[in-house]
Amino acid sequence: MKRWGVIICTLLLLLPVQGCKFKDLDLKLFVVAMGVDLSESDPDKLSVTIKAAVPMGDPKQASEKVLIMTEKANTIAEAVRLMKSRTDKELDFGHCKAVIFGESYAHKDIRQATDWVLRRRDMQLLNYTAVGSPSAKEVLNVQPVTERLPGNSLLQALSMDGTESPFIISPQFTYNLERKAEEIGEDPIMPLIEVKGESELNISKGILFNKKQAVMTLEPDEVRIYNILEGRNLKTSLNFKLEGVKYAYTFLRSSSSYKMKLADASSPNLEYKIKIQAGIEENSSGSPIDSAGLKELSAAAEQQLGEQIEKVLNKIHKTGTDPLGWGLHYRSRHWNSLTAEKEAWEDIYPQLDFKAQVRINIKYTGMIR
Amino acid sequence: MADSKQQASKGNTISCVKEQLAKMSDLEHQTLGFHGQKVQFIYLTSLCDSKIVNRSLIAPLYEMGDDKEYELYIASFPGCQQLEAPPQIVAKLLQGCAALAFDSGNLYLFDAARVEASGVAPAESETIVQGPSDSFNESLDVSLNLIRRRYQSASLKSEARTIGAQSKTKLAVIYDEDRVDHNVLKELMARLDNINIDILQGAAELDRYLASTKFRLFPTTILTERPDRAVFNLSEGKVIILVDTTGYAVIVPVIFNDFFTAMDDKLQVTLVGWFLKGIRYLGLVLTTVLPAIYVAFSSYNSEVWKIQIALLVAGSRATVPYPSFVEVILMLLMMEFLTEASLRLPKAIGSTATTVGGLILGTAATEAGLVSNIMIILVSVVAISNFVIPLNMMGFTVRVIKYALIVVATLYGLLGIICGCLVLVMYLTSLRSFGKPYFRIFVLDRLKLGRTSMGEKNNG
Repeated sequence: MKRWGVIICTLLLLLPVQGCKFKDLDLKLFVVAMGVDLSESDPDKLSVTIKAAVPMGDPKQASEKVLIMTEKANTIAEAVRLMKSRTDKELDFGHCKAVIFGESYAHKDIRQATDWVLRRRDMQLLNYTAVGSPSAKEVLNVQPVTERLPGNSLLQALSMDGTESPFIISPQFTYNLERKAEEIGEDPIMPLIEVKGESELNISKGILFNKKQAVMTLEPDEVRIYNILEGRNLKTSLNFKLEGVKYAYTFLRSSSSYKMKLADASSPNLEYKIKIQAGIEENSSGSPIDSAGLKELSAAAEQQLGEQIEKVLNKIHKTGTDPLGWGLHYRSRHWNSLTAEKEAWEDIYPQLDFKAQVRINIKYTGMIR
Repeated sequence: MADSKQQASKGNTISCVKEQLAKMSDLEHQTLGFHGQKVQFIYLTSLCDSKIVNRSLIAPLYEMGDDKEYELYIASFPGCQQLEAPPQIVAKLLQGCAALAFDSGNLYLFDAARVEASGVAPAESETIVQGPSDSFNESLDVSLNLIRRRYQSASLKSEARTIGAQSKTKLAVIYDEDRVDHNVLKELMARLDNINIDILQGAAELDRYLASTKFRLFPTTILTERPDRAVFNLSEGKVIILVDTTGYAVIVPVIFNDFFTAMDDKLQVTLVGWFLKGIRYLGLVLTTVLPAIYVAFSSYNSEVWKIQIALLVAGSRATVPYPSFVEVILMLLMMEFLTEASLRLPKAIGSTATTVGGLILGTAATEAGLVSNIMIILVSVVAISNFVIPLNMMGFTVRVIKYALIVVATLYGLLGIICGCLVLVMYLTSLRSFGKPYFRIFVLDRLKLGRTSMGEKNNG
């Protein structure tokens, strides 16, 4: 009996340890995405928009209800508190999956929003980040027809779980954003979401950031090149022209690597090596292709892609940003104090000369020979 | 002179015995005379087989010419004893012996017991798909026979005990002398000697008296009705206690894993056996943790779920008027009622109860919005996975444990479940079954047994 008393007392004494309050699921409102804009009326204020999913009783019903709320305040924390007094249920950020920065806000300074997202306990560090154009609010307002769960289409596109477009920059999680924003030698990059009409979103561009704000927009073609350089086995196709005939080839396998050649201090260069295995997907002439023809085509594709890559690399270089982490690469291979490394890299970076060596092997002609 | 003294003492003994057995309607006292001699028969008709009495005792009496010859004949039977002290005689009579008193003063007790038991029936509480289906029955001899037939070794020993001041229940402690851990055996004997009760009616009861501590969550002995399980455990060096009049055997010592071994595991292909065992452990985890997880995730840590599931649960909970733990406990209790009801009901009504309770009640409850759909799925999973555990005793324990986990989940969320499981594991590791660590799941060499195997012995 005494033992039971002790057990019960221990349980009671432990009650304050539980951390969160007992609150049932149906008393919570799940925020699935949030957006941060500059307030139009007051440039000093922020306009915070949340998109919350309202659960429906019947799971067979196709569409779920969405709650979108916007609030203006000096800080995001304040805006969220103001929103809380506008709903009957507790806002829960535990399921927030995307943080969208408004375009104008991204161009000004994203550090305040990043800081809030990272500090907040119930925000997971696995939020997808993106920039919304014309504003985050409008992006969140869009209701795509294919959407079953609120905000899900946005998440599926950004996470590449659903669509696997070569024009969407691979997921940029908040922990990664913070890492890139703090790390010497790597800068953030985010996909740009554009609103197209009432029920369509277009994610095909990218935005380069320096540590603080957006500096340049990458066009869809450039985003694709960036994706080739950044990852492996990108699912995409590319076009090229040879003797007036249009061809398209699809990637079966791709890989990229680069080497920094700094031996000659006056002209340091960075050489990308890209290896692609591909198959012909389209041929406007309709004439059959033999193995000799494939080699010819490969050579032409190599040359054209090489030019495109160099162009994109030079464009990125001009902005002074480092989305692919070359600086980190340099620092990982050179040993010195932090400041000395940083200075050395800052000396080298502007002089860098980019080269691209592309090896394309078009192996297959598709289902027809 | 001496003769008359003997006569007198004999008369005394018989009257003394009769006095003790007064007011027993089934007491038979006959005096048969032949050749001028008299033989008195005293026995209890309810305990003695009348066929044995007629054929082996009364018929020969008239066939034989001489009373000396007849006395020799009686004394030659195995198990026939010559006793004088009245209390011993009474005890023997109550076991089913017939007492024969000759004029010469000799008193013989002839074993004519009638044993009524159900025949060897198929096992009911531990059914298996393929394999032998016979089970122990209420007769100790039949049960012993079932074991001996399967374990033909001279090292198989059986020691007899009697427990219960009133019931005098016979026990047989069976073990393989070469393989058994003698410490365990000694401990068991000591505990058996310490049992001080009036009536022992079942093997399960014995199990309770054998336990070292009063309060236990987990069974530390196995109760089985399958001879093949008993023999399998014998070969592993364990001790079997057969209890007369019960039809069950107690196996000691046991480890946790033994409760998850079905006898057809051995008959299956190795891979299938592993799979089945894995399924059982998965069932154990599901049935203990799932309700608690539901409470914790729907009231504390909803971000652990995928958003789809969170919304689904939130949606189906929208009409439920009470907090999640009330919902869970309510439904689980309902399920317990169902299980209990269908256990106790006659078989013909049992299925009706399950249909009415399970199907109609479940559907109606969700449609009325009192319980969420997900909850119904969860309760069924919990109920079904509970029955995956092959031995009922463990199944009952698990049924109770999940409520403790629900309580800690209600108070502390996921943290509570983790700590609860930790405490459970700690408790399990602290348990001992007759001095052997109970929670040795992944140790293959089980108990440290003698090295001689059956094969070696036969060859040598």
